[in-house]
Amino acid sequence: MCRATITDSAMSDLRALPSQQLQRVALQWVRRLESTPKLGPELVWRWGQDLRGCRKDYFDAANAPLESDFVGRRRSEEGAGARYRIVYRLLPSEHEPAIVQVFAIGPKYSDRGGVYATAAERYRLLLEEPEERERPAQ
Amino acid sequence: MRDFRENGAKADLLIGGANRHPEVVLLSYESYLDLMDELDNLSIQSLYAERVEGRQTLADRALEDATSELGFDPDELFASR
Repeated sequence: MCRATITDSAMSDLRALPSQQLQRVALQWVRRLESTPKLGPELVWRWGQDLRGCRKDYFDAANAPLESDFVGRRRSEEGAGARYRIVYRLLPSEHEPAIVQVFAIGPKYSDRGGVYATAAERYRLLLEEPEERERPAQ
Repeated sequence: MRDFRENGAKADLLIGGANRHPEVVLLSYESYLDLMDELDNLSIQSLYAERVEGRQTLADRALEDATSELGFDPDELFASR
């Protein structure tokens, strides 16, 4: 069982979500990631955004992630798919994860480039100072 | 040129052009070097501030703390369905 941590930036993302229901669902998804940390697909380098080593999880207001048979689906797979993403990485490694570190949450698409553009910039900062970043929260 | 040679960085800069329209600025070489140093310092300060701000915004907190901060009860929110 992993332990989830949320960066201060991701906290700001949570506060910026347009409804309390979305906040609730996002937090519940993060809780679920503690028991299934590799639930979210791995991210790749795309359009100059290097998020290799990270994962994503889909969510939307109608989700019930703590119901054991619930599975998030991509919009491309289901017409009314999830509009929002949780971007996270596993620490200390993908092979032996102990911490699910959530560092970006938000809509896939937005006027400011969407969650992946924000996540890529934050991830770059995370990688610049790995020792400080990987210290577990107290 | 005499003013630049005699006074170096203390010489007044010159603005030239035609028809009351400024087109060129002349300053001593010493002033130019000082200006470049100042720009370098400002650039470094800006980069440093950005890095410090980045570190501060990347602090982590536990899921339960985040949940409480947002006004939710973790026991209720994370109860198994």
